[in-house]
Amino acid sequence: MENQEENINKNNFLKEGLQGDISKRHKDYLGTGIPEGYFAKSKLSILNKIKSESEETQFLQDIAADINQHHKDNLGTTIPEGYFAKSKLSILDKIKEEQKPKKQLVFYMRPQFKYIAAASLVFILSLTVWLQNSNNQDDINNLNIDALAFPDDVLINSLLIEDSEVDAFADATLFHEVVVKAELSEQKMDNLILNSLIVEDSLLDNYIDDELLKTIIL
Amino acid sequence: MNKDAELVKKLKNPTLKNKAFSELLDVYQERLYWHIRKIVTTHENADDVLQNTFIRIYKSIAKFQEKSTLHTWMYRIAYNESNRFLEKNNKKSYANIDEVSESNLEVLFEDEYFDGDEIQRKLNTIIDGFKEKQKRVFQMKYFDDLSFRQISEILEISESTLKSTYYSAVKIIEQKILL
Repeated sequence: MENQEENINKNNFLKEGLQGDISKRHKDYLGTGIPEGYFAKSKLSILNKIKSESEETQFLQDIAADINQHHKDNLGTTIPEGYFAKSKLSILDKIKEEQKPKKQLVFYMRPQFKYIAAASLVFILSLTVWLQNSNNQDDINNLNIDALAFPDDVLINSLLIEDSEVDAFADATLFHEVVVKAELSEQKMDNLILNSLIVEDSLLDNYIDDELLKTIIL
Repeated sequence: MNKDAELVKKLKNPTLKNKAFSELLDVYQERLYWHIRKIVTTHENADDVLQNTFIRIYKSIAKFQEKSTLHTWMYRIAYNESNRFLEKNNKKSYANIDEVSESNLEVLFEDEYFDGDEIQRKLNTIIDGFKEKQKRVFQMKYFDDLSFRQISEILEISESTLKSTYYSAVKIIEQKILL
């Protein structure tokens, strides 16, 4: 019964709130008191604080109004004439630069592709040199055999030559077989190089393989 | 909506951003300059840091979450940029051991844009003698017109500590300036 009455009182306190004498209610219900005349003194104190703060604010506003002068007067620090106008323009220029879309490099100009391209070029050149050397080696081997094996008609002709003309025949045969054929081969080599310059890179390997085999051998 | 909030709204709008940024420069350039200048000492250094600060502000305004005021957020960026600049310069001077490092005061007094008289030199000397934290608190409060709450957000120090630090700095200046 007592608890019920207490709850009703509490509800009344909450409902009535600030409507009644809140200090009396707090004293009655919670036992909390305040010094005599506290709110009157408190009001004066708050108003005084606001007044002093607004004076301080005014003082600070005066300072902010000429911050440059404030620094000059107190610290002796100055700035170049018209600095802030120039600085603003400079900052806005930099911002403009930042906004410009950065140039997109074509994919093959990008650094990672440059390395790949350089590596491919070195590989192709190495392969070309290697192929040439390997074919030359084959040529040399073939050349030795060919050089030793004159064609049949030359051998038959040599049997019909008189002893006094053997030296002249040998010279003429050697000249024809070695020098003339070598020159012809050189010409073919030149043609091959010239053609290879015209042929696209991608076809170069096949071209070299085919042509080199056909032409280099004496 | 206050002026700063309006400015932030415009800065976050891509079509209004550039115009708003120009407005932002008009409002805050001088204040941030002086904040920076007191940390990095010379006009030349302050100019560098000011530009970097505004470029950083421009780039990161979209990420500004408005947990603090625009004013405080920009001061914090300026403060961090200034410290970054000092760290970079310190590393440079450490790397060059032949270079005789000058004190802050020497650098300030030799600066082209310093023409302080005896009292101003004295005040600079007293402030330079403060510990780093006390120096910044005094400068932000006395010269930059920041509230203790704003300084607390920038330096991440409690307001009560800031107040005692500031008032002890004022007391020291009062005593020393009269000597």
